[in-house]
Amino acid sequence: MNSESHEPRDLILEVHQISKHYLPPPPWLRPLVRSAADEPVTALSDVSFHVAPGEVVGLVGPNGAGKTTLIKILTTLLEPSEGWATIGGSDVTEQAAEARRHLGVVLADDRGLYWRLTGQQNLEFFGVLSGLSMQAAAERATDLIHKVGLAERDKRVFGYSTGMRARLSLAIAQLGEPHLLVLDEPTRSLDPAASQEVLSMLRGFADDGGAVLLSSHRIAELVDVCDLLVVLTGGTVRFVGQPHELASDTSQQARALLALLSEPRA
Amino acid sequence: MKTGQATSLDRIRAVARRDWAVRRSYQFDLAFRMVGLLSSVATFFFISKLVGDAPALEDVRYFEFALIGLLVINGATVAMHSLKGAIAQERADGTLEMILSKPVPLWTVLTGSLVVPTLFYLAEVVLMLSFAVVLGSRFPLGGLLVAMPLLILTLVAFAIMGLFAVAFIVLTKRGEPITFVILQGTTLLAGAVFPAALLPAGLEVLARFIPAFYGLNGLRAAMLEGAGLFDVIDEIAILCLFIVVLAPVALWVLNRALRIARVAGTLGSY
Repeated sequence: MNSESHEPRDLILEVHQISKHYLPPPPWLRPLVRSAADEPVTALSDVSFHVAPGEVVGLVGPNGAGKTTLIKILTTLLEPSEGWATIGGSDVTEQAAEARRHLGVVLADDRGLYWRLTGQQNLEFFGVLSGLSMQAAAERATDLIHKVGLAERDKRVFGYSTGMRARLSLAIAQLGEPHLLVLDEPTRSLDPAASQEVLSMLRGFADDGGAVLLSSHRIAELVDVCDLLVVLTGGTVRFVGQPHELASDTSQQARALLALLSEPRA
Repeated sequence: MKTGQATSLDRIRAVARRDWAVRRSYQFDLAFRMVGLLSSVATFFFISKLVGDAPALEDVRYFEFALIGLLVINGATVAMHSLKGAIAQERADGTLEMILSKPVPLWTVLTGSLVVPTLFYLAEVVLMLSFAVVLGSRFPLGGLLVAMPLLILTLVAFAIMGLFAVAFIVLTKRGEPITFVILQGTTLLAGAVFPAALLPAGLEVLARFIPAFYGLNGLRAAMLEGAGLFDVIDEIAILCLFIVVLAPVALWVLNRALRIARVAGTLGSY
């Protein structure tokens, strides 16, 4: 990417014409590299949108729409084939280390935790990896434990309920005081009350000046909490806009969104 | 640097603390490992009785000769498996992607992953040597001091070769030939449990391309013959040369493997 080709302006996240093609590995690498695809697969095509401070942006789409691929690109775990994305003005491919400083991540499931460690130990470990000194990480861990309401900080994670693990993941994502939270289906395994609490926390994070990109299948939740929706189907952007652009009230917005996801692509 | 910011040492310590906390939670594993080590030492003690005064060993008893070989084989296993095992475990647990999404240089995580296994290994060395003393072995104190840098350099050389194994694992997920080749090479060619001089001429030349060959020679000279630091300076220099040459190549190969996995989207799959 040419850094002069776009201005970071006040945007926290800028995604510009991102495409991702999964290609089968070249013949000489095939004995070594396992690939899910024997044929080229286009997972994302020409995806563009942006996120400003204070916004909660919902990423919605059916299974296989490319949401996780996009999230992996934005979290620097996957390289795009074309296009670019910046977080806090830093390119996620070419300035990945800098982009990560602005980023808090909750990946799908709760596999990103050390289950043999306590919640406090997880927070302190990831705190140092997020750039805090040992002492600062311990202090920040204590603050976040209170903020996300995580009781039993000294219990090992394998003894946590799903809701507690979700809270812990959310706390870990906020350790480095990021500007952007990227979350892949953070409420997937939660009951409605726990889910609502997590969404309230995300709203609070945005209201404090941060930004949130949230992938979810729970349409009613998304139209309720999001300022902006990005609808992906078949790897392309189907709709980018505010929920009220779909319909006037929230129940109709959810229905309109569902209809949009169900429509065959022209 | 701002106050409250992590240094590289903080990151290495954090990884080591994590590993210590995880390892402490598996106490039986630790106890069985200790029993296994003592059993290995005892096995070589009795083989030594069978071997007697072997002419190929000159004035050295087979027990002490093999004990040093066992120390190096164990060190090689720890150094090579620690890095590879750390990456494979992180990937299976789903924490590898979390770590790689943090602003942390990978080398600090890898170095940190070596700390606890190395400390345990050094404790094992002390335990094995102590048990050998109980069984009648005697080691010169000066030789033990000279052995320390040789042992550390040998471990570092193995850890660097372990980076090649990590690169393989990043791409293949399971199964890599590097660890097998290095450990078999150390056992068979480098003279871990029998003198490399017994090998056919061609294989003896091959042994000289294995860092363990120099580590073993230096350690035996120091611990069994009481050689001073300057007596083993050649071995130290060659081990340093291996490290200086191999380290940048290994890091390049590892970064290349990570890049391939990032493009293919296979970084977190296992």
